Amino acid sequence: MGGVEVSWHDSRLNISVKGTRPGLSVQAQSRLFTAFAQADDSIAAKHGGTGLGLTISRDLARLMHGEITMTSQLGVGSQFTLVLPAAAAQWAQSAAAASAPAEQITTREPTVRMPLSAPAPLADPLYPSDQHAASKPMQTEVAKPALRALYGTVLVAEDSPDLRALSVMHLKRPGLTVLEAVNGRDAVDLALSGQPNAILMGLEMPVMSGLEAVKHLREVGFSRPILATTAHTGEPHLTLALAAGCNDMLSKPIFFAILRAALDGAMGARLLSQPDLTSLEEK
Amino acid sequence: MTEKLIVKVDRELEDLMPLFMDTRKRDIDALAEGLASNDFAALRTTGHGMKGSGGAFGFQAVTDIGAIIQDSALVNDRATIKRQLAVLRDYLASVEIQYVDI
Repeated sequence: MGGVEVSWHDSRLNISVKGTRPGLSVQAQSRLFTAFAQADDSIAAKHGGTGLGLTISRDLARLMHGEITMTSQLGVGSQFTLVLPAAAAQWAQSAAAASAPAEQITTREPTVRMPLSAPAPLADPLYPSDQHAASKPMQTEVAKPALRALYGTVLVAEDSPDLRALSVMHLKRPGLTVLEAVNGRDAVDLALSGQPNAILMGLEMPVMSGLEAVKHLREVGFSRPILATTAHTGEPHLTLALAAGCNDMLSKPIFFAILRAALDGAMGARLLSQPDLTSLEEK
Repeated sequence: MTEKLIVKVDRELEDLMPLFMDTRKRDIDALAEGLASNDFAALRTTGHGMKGSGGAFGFQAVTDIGAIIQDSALVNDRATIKRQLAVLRDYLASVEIQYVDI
C-alpha cells in the first residue's frame, strides 16, 4: 500500500513517499536523477514532464545539507525519501513519544523550523507550491485586470534589459509615462529631475545599489512611493527595504496583476486614475 | 539532443522574447566565464538575475535553475553550478515556444 510517512530521527526529518507499481528496473534507476531523463520514453508521451524534477529536487535537498534517496523493485513499487537536518520548533506529540522509534504519522502535522541558510523545499521545482510566491507561475492563475487609463509617470530602475523592457511594456499599456534607469545613480538623477509619481527600484544594480539610491532619495526629500523589486524573498529583505525608505517590496518574477495591485496600493487608485496636475504630462 | 520542450508564453510577450533569449545566452556565457575564473560573486549575480526573470516570461525552469545557481554560488559549490549550466544549455536548446492568449 502506498502512502506518505514523516518521521524524526537524530535531528533529521525524513519524508518518504511510497508508491505501488510499476517499480523501476535497475537500468531505469541509474538514469533517474539524470537531467532530462525519465524512467522510460513513454512517460513523457503519457504524462508529460521534462525529466528535470528529480535532478533539481536533489540539488535543492543537497543545498539544504540533505539528500533524496530511492529504493525500488520492478513490479512492486518505489520509495523516495527526503532527509533534511532541521531544528524541531514544536511537536504535537509528547517528549516520550518523540524519543520512540519512527512511526507512521498519518494525521499529525509537525511544525519544523528549517535552518535559516536553507531555502524552503519545493514540492515540485518546476511547479512550486503556494508558499513561494516569487516563483509561482501566475500567468495561468491570475485573471488579467480590465485595463483602465492611468495617468502619471513611473520610474523603472532595473539593470536587467529583459525585465526592464517587460515592466515598461506593462506600465505603458494603460497609458503611464515611463522613465528608465539602468543603475542606482541614474535612478537618483532621473527621480530628482523627472519627479515621477512612483518608482520601481531594483535592489541589485551596478554603480549604485537600489538600497543606496533609496536612502539618498529619502535624505534629499523625495517623498513619493518607492517599491523595491528583487529576486530575494522573505522578511529580512523586506525589513532592509523598508528601513532604507521603500514603501513595499515586490519579489521577482513580478507579474502584471501583482505590479498593478502594488502600484494601486502605494499610489491610491484614485490618484493614478485622474490627471496628475503635478506630473510633467497630462492625458 | 532531447525532444522539444513546449513552453507556453503569453502572446503579449512575443516581441520581448528575442531580448529574453539573448539575455539567457549572455547568462550562459557569464556562467561559463565565472566557472573558468572561480568568480562566485559573478556566478551568484547571474543566478540571481535568472531567478528574477524566468518565471515572468513563462520560463519557470529558468527561475528555478537560477535559484539553485545563486544559492550554490553562496557556498562555492562549483560542481552544482557546472551541472546546472549544462541543464540550462540543454533546456534552452530544447524549448519550443507556443504563444497563447493567457
